[in-house]
Amino acid sequence: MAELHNTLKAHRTDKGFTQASLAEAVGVSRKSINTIENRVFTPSTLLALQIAHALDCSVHDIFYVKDD
Amino acid sequence: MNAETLSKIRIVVFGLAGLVCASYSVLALMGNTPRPFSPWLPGASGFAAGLVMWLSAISAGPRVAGMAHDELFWVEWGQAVKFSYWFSIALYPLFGIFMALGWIEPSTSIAAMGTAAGAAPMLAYCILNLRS
Repeated sequence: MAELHNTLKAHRTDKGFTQASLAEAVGVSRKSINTIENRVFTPSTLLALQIAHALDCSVHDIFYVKDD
Repeated sequence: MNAETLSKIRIVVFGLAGLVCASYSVLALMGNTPRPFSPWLPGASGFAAGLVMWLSAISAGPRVAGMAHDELFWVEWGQAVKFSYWFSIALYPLFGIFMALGWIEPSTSIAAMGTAAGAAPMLAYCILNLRS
């Protein structure tokens, strides 16, 4: 079954963001960023685009589908 | 006030109001009485919870309030409401059996079911939020 994975934590730390500062930049709670990184919560397309914009990269750089 | 604090306030007030309602329901069932304690308390606790959340959101400002009520909140709240819907429907046959067996009076059923249905979304949300 295909599952959504992400490299958000790596991109975030590369750009010098903490979870709290990235959350502030995209206007969500720190917990949202945390749960996305831990794959507990799947963000909407809008939030995924906002995160990618804040990290100055493409959504495809952060999110990818993996067949398990 | 930041979004984290606002989220914590929400959990505390939902938890307290939910526990008051759940206590009313359980005590009504255990004592077979529609008035285990003041019947104003469950409603007043729900109203107070709403008021505290509203005042907190106002004092935090629209941006912080928006961050605290982001899509994760709405997803978890939606799951809590979904659970509560089926939980509340399930109470009808359950309490119907209790009444048919003569264990509780209809007036007790109304009090217990109403407060249990009120407690369900608030407590379900707290559990979902604390687990995620």
